[in-house]
Amino acid sequence: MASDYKDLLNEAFSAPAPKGKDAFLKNIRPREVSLFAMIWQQAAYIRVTAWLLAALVVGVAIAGAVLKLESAQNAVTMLMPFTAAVAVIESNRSRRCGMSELETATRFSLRSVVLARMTLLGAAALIVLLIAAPVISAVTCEGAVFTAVRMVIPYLLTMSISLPIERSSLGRKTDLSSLAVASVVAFVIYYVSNFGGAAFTGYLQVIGRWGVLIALGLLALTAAQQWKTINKSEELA
Amino acid sequence: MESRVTSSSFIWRNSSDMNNIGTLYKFELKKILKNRLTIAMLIITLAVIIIEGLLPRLTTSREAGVAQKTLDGRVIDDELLNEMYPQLLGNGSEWNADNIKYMGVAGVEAGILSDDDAVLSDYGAAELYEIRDEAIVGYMNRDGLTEDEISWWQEQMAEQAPFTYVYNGGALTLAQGLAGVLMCIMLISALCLSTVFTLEHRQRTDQLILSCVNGRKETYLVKMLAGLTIVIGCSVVTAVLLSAMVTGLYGMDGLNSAVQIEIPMSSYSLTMGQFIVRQMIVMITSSILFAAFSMAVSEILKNSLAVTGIMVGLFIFGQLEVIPPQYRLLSHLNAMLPSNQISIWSLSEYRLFNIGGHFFTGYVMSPVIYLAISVVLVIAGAVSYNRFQVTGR
Amino acid sequence: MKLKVDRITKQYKNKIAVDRISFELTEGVTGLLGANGAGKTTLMRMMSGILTPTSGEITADGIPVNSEEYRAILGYLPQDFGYYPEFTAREFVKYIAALKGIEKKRARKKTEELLELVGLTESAGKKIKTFSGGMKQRVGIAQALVNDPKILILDEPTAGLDPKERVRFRNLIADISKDTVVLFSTHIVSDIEHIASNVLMMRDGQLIHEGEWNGKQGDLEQFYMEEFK
Repeated sequence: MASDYKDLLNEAFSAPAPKGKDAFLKNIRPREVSLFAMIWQQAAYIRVTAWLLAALVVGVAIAGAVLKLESAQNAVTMLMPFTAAVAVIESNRSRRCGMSELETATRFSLRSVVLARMTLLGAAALIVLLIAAPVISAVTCEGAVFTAVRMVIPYLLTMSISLPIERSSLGRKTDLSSLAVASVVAFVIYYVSNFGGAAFTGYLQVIGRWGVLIALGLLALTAAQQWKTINKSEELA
Repeated sequence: MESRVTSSSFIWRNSSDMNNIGTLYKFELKKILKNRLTIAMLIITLAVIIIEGLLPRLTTSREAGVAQKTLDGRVIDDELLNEMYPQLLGNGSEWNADNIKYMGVAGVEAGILSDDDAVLSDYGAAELYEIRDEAIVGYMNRDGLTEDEISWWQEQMAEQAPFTYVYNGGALTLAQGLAGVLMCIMLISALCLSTVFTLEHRQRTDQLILSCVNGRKETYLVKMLAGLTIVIGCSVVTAVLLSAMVTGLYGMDGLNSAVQIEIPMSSYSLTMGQFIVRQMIVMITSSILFAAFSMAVSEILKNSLAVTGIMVGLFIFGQLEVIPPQYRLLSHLNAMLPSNQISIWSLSEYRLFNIGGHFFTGYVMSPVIYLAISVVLVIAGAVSYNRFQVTGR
Repeated sequence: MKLKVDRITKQYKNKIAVDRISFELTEGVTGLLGANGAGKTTLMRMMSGILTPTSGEITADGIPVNSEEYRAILGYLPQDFGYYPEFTAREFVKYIAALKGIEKKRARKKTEELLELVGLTESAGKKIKTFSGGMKQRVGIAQALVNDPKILILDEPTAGLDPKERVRFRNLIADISKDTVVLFSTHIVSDIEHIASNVLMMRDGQLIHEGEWNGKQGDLEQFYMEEFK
């Protein structure tokens, strides 16, 4: 009964047809999207592989701590270059998939999209470091800062080499150039730590003394390369 | 059926089959070698060889080697030990021009004792060898060896002691270098060969290839052959280059030294030269395995990134030593991974394969296993390739 | 040469891409018209042996499509085909010739003839990655002809070509079709209007028209628009 009345009332007092609706809608300013919301939006477009790899590194660190494996330090250090490679690959996905030109023409510029992705992946790497370093240092009885520096140097080294390669013609031709860089860095870590002997001891001494400075230097270099990549992303479109 | 179409084209095909296979093979080699990533990896491999060759020169002096060679041929017995003990400083941790010649011998003793607190000069030769034998049996029990396996090893070890010291710097550098070279071959397979098939799908050249007479079986065969040529060629060339470099820089010292001079707890009755030959066999068969895995699995999965991830992941996992020895099968499988099998530390692997009551070491079985797995992978890849349909574009 | 397509069907999980199509082709150009998603490419892939039909049969003078003898007499130019950027035009055609089982000496000669035919003699030694779209298509037609095919399947070969290139392409196909079965798919009706003696039209996987076209029936484009109302 009540719904009958409702229907009758709706018929008798129906709203008039809109006039100038399209024009009105066109004049409305687009919804404000905060920086955080835009960055968070990009998280959905980063492939699961990147997050899984970060989780793997944390998993290996924790497993190493639980099983008291000293080799976990080396394993985590060897995995860090691959997290860097995956971060570089994800940052360049637009270009690789041929989406750069379309994305350049959208509301958020391609540069901001690339920056957002780099920020997210960098944050993930930082979280990995903050969890893995203290956990590993508990097994090896080395300081957490020393362990963190040992982990971060290969990460930053891989990034600072991969980013310019990805921008070059080699990077345009193949998906695997960043992985190649990561593989080589990981291999060098493996070789030096297993067969380096005095060279490895010397490396650890240098890290102990100058590690933080070296890491900061590599961080600056990586940041510069990231800046170039961001700036050139719309050129390459 | 028109004979004009079938018989003439059939006869014409037969006479040029081998020529075509040869031409296709050359084109496939060209595709792989023209890839800039392949060139980069080959350059990196060359750099690795140079670094491996030079690294010992940077970390140990020429004089140390010359001094140690003066003890070549001396039996490690009470006479040598009693000569060494008064010269030791810091329980064998400090070396100078006067005592450096005993560094190798002290290393053997320290390797047997495996206890940082043990005082080297407290032990006589007979006691040392007895400790060694007992420790080895202890490790074998830890690794779950059967009584028969332990007896088999004891027969092998019967004539090993006392050891004869021979300086093995050159041979050791080569042995360690081969392990590094295999890693480069693995990376070449993972990064360069994993795109041999997937690139055709990605570049959309598969449509043209598959519509041709030689586009299925023949193309698969030549692609596999080209990939295998690259890895086997790399293995041989790098082994030769490394050997030449080591011989030139250090001389090929120590090929006839017992492996126990470097790995005292090894139960193998091998010289370093014999071990290196086994390493080379492992290297070549591993290279075949890497190539077959990379190409076949990338074609089955249609994904070269996944294959690269699997290969590198397995390598890193193999370094972790995460599987305790009481899980014999898993632990043994881990030890059989190419990266572990080629390492000099494989000389301390005691587990054996029992086939029909006969025991075989990993050095005998690993090439057979790698080749068998390679054959299975190649067949699986062939099935996947021949069934591939161009769809979804 | 009689190319027979008999009740050919291709079904995917929830879609029938080609639905029981039958027709017979002989020497000459047959135009295949249809909108996007009509099933033209799927049909052509099945006729090229790179996609297996769900049911039905395709034979050329009794030779089944999945046999090596069939592929030996086939020339195929796919829509949006790939190439090796580092190969020169000459190398690319020679490579396809080897894939088609052509003996080396003959392949060399044929490659030069074809590159001259398609007007690429001067660019034969240059890498394909430096070529324009039209030049790449010309390399495509050269590789399709390298084995003197009895059956030539061209999937939208004029897409992306400028008008001059399209006319040139049409004339080339008209010359070849004298003793070759040519199936030529396109959206652009004028491409086949003047050279096709037979026209097939597809919609939603089905053949909605099959018949000779000699121009006397009027404007093909008009006819096409009528059929697809």
